Amino acid sequence: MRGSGCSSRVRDVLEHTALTIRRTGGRAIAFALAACAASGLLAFGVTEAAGRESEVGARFDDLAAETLQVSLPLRGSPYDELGQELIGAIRGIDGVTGVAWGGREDVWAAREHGPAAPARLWTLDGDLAILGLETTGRGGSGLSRGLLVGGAAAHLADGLARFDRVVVDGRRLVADGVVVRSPAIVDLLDAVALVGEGSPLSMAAPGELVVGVRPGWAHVVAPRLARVLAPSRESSVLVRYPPEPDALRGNVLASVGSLVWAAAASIVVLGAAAVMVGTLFRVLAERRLLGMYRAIGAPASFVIATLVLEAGIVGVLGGAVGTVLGLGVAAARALAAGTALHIPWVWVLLGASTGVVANTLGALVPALLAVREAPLTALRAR
Amino acid sequence: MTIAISGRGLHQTFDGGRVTPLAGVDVDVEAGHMVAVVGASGSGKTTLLNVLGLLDRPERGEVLVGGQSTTQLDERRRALLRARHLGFVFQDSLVDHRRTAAENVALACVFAGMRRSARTASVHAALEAADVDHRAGSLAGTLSGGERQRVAVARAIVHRPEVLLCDEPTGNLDEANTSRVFDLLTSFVAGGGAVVLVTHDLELAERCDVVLRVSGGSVRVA
Repeated sequence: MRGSGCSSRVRDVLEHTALTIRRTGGRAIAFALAACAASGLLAFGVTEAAGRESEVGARFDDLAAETLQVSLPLRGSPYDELGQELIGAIRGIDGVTGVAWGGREDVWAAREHGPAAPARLWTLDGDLAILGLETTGRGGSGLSRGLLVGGAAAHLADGLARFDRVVVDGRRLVADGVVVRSPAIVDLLDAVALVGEGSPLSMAAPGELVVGVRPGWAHVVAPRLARVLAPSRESSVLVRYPPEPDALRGNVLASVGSLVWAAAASIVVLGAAAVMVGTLFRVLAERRLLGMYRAIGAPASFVIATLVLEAGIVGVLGGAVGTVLGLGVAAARALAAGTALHIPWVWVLLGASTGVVANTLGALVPALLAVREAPLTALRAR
Repeated sequence: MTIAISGRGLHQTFDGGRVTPLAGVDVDVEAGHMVAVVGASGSGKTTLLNVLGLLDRPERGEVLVGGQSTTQLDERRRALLRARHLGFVFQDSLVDHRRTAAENVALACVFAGMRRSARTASVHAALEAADVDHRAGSLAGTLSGGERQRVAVARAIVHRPEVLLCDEPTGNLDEANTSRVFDLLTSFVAGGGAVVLVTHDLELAERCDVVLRVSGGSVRVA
């Protein structure tokens, strides 16, 4: 007559929970609506934040960028080298304030009569002011044409001292200064740089093309620059924004992201608190009933499982509806505003599942309180 | 003579020892007997019932169900023992109003671990025995007081426990329903079960096999 198999017990719990949900429709709907509202807000908020982040990021680049960079070698360009014609075409783009460039190669450098050591050599030319270099040396902090030594490179090779005669690939040169800041080409801080040599830049060799732009013109200049450099294969031109605005943008967006996630976490916590309070009221209202269940032999695990499962099932259903509604509202808003819809699926799903887990845990506390009370005490409750 | 349930040296106090409803009480309830427990209000009738029904632990003494001591059992095992070997009927027909009569009765089958295939027949038989099978599909909240109490009795007997513990089951019922509930208990006893019936109704008590009077912490056969 006994049949206490595990699957049978699980089925009993599921059936009991389903029956309770069906017979207490009002309560289930109220719980589901709370979960729906929380999930809807969460999905809408996260999606809206992702869209805003994208818009703000792009606009920020435009406003903050003073230069655009194209890394070489450049595939798909009809030009072999950066000649006067190409430089003129770049300078002719509206919003461009200047062009500077640098080619990169690996060389041996040494103090005169000293041992040689491997070093990176950059050959810079063009409107050097837009590179934003800061140097120290014989001529003070102003940029002089000649040999510059990156701060780290000065120490890398034992014989390559500051403000001294050095030999680079067999050429005897005088080091005019040390690069202490290079916001556009960060690599210069660890390299040796020859400035204003006048030799043309090869488009097929490693290097950087740096184009100065007027504030707010980056998004206008970038596609035109791509068309000039590779008329038939613009997509092969990857325009980079300089690292400083990039880092600043990252900081700003991280702050915005933190606020969004703080709000999202608050919604989840508030939702869980609502479920906890709701379940607590339910447990109090049904104290005698739960006491009767336990008096006639219901194990504590049965009572806990049914209470928690009820909150979980209702939370999942309400949460799913809320997530769909939230995404729908976000999509409608994006459509109305004519902006692109960015749905961060990972975060939406993570938020929804965190909400379900939080809901379920929210019900666990009152359920544990319910079974901690002796059945007799619960039966005497009025 | 088979002892269905017994208490040995049961001692229970309340209010920090100021009230002593049970002071070293010994009770034996034989299978196939209906034992009435009578006494003044607050004398300790329900306390005795709760201790025998494993709903309360005595401060001293032990309760034996089917000869097995329950003193060392944890709450989980006591719940299992209640579910499988005992049945309870409370005064105010405590049933789940959101469930039908049949669903209320089936709860006891679930807790007793009865096989699913056996449940439907058992529930039907219990409801039929309680003469409330025609209301099997009705929500308990829509039943009359007498019908609810008969559903409660059906729930208490559906898993065929050895002992039925009834706390004034007819206290809120009219004469006709009282008689029907008592007949149900009599049928249960006739089937070999034991009934402990706490009641204020002396006429009903006189129809029982044994009458115990609880007074001043002791229990005597009246």
